[in-house]
Amino acid sequence: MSGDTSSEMTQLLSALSLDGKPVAESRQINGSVFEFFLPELVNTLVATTVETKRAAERLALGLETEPEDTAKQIEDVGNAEADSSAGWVELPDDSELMEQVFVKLEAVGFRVGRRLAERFAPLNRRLVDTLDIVKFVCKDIWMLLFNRQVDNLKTNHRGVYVLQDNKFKWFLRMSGNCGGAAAARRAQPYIWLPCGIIRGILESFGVSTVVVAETLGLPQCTFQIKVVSDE
Amino acid sequence: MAKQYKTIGDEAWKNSVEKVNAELFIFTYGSLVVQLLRDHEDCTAVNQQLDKLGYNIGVRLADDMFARTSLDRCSDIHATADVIAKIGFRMFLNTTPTVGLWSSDNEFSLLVEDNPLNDFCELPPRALGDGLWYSNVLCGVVRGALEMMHMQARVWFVRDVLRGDDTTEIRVRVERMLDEEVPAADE
Repeated sequence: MSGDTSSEMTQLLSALSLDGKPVAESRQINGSVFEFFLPELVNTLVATTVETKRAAERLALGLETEPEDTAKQIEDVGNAEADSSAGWVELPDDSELMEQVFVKLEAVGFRVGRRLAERFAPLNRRLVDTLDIVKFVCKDIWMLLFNRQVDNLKTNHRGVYVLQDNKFKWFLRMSGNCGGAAAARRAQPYIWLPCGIIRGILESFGVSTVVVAETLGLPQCTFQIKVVSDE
Repeated sequence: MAKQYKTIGDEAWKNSVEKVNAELFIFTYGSLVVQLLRDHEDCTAVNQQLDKLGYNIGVRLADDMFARTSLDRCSDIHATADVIAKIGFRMFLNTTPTVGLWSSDNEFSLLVEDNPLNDFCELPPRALGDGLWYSNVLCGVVRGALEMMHMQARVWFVRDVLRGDDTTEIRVRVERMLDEEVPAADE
């Protein structure tokens, strides 16, 4: 289980206890499903973005894209890039393209966050301020999604929150394959989804934020929330 | 034989599976569908993306299933249909479709009475009316899993309660057996 290392964390996180929210009422499925789904989600968004880019290029060249072409391109991209043994793909070495993919991943996460907030917002206690909401993310949401809590939460009490997860669940399977910069690069897409989730949850409670993340080495992950406006 | 598969499936679900709340998967899948609808103009492309996604997942799920249940692969299509429904669906989605509507020895339907993806589905009726099969990932999964069981199949949606049909029906036609010894086709 996550270690209680910093007293600041203790102070911040122990004030709220886990609601007996209807987690027991949630339908259950096999954890492997999401685990296998996640890299394919990334692949699909990469394929879509590549295909859109190619179509735009063809348009610029005055060539028309036939529907069959589009379908074939999706096929090609999927076949060329999938590493079926592990599911993790080699991402295209095109930073502009990957930026677009990250934006989509964040958007996907954002919608997920909104739905999670609707579904799991505590009924019998009010989240009074932004700090309450962030703690809700660190404890309740993280527990629902990853079966553990955020390891460390820091805030400057002026709208910036830093969440640290030393064993980010989605990174655990990635650590072994390669080291250092290559691993961090492979992990990039997977960071944007939880950023979006966090942003979506906060937005549901009326708090607009920018959420970014970085990893200093798998499986560690640090999320930074910056409040844009409070309502 | 069918009863044995049910037992294997139940066993696997109870003892060999890490159970998680379904919401993360259901919401993320739904969110992906929304994103794909924005990125593609027509639903055929979205259906195809979902099928491809499902295929890649199905290949890995089949591996996982065989690893956890020590089942033998078999070439009997009837038995394989039961394996898919009573073991595959059961141990991964905790739902067991009914196998039925055999039209010949190689074509049958999976009637999915309880589709987890339908929980919290928020798509507007228009998208569903335009030809989108919201849960098309399931067709890909079945297709990919069957390929791992050395069967090349066509898998497609026939009916979906999300579209107002009375039931959710996925049709499977096994087109040929894949011989594992056959070398890759000449390019």
